[in-house]
Amino acid sequence: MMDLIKLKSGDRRALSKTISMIESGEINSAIIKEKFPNIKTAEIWAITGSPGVGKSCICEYIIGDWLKNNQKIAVLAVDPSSPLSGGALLGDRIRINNSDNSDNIFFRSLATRGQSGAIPSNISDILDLLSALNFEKILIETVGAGQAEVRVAAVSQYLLLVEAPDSGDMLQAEKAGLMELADILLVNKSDLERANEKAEQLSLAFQLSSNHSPPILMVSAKQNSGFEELFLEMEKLSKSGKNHKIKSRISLSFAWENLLWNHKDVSKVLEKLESEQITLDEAINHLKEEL
Amino acid sequence: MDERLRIIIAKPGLDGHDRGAKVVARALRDAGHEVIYTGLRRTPEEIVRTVIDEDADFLGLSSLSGAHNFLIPKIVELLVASDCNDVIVFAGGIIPEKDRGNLFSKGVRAIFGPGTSSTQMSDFIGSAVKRRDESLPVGCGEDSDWHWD
Repeated sequence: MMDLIKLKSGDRRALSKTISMIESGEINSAIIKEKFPNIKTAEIWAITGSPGVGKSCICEYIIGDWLKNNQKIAVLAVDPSSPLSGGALLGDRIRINNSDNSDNIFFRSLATRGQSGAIPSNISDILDLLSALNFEKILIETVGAGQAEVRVAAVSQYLLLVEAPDSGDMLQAEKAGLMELADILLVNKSDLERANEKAEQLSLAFQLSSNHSPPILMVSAKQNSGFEELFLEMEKLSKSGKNHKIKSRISLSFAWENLLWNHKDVSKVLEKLESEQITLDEAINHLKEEL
Repeated sequence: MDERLRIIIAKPGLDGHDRGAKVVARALRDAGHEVIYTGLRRTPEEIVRTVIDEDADFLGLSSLSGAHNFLIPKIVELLVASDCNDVIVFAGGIIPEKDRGNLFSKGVRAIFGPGTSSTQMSDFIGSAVKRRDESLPVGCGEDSDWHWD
């Protein structure tokens, strides 16, 4: 069971043990809400993008900037679980070196644990816990697995999307999805030749739709350039206090999915589906009835 | 898979070779565990911080630089000071036979050299977990002579 006294005194081990209990389902959102009524939500940022675009390196810069202001920070770095073994290799700490050096930062790697999509389903409970323990800023780093990833928008307040030169042709920029939800678009590796071209493509894609155009910034994590501008934009957003749009729509679908995966009969129904004892329609009807 | 464990694989000190650590990390991942790899050249303090934040069950320390006699006992000492007595510590790399007894006496529960198979490692992890489940001492700060041969 969670140790409230230790948790409130700032004991890191108690916090990390409690997160494990949330991950395993031992503690659910009802318990957290009961123990910590009136949670004031922390400022939650998510950073996402395709594998290899440089998310972790950019995180290191952002964390460095936040640490300057002496704020209490939590980082949740999400990596996928293997669909075959259920295991995971969590390697984001390698690139975020400043994470181990300050008492003001709590860094936790999370595996997706076999749920569909690219963030663990109980991440919102972990965010509630961190908020209740007075973490001021939370950064979620996650692999941009494509469309399903819009769910990071459901749990975060601000979304940074990282792109890199040569990551897909013009058509990729025209595709809908996460890009429409981004609050800031970053083109990393600006030291590479085709970075300008990439930024132009992105900007063109947004010019065609008039409703939303986030700032498009060029940075180079390798050369430490462009970050002052990023920090300014982030501060502007943070002061504006606005949520990114159509959030409620995604929140609803995310919550709905959580209901499904936490349904008491879900493994039974899956088993029957796999062995073809029931049809998909029958499965849905059964789950609906019991909801 | 019996139980999903959280295992840290760490490279303490000034040692730039991590092929072995990566192979071990990968083998443990394939055995169904959540493995956190720290990357190269970590200080004992950084490693202990990682163990705490990640709520690790096991800590694997890889050393090929010859500094194991200093770094490994130091890490165990810091773990105990941080109330992590129950974390199970094992080591790997180039650790001569003559140094092993001392490390075992400091709370290290297994030492794997070149040529170790992933089955041997799984067997160690299985035995250590069994001891833990039976409330027998096995953590780095728990008093016991037990170690894996």
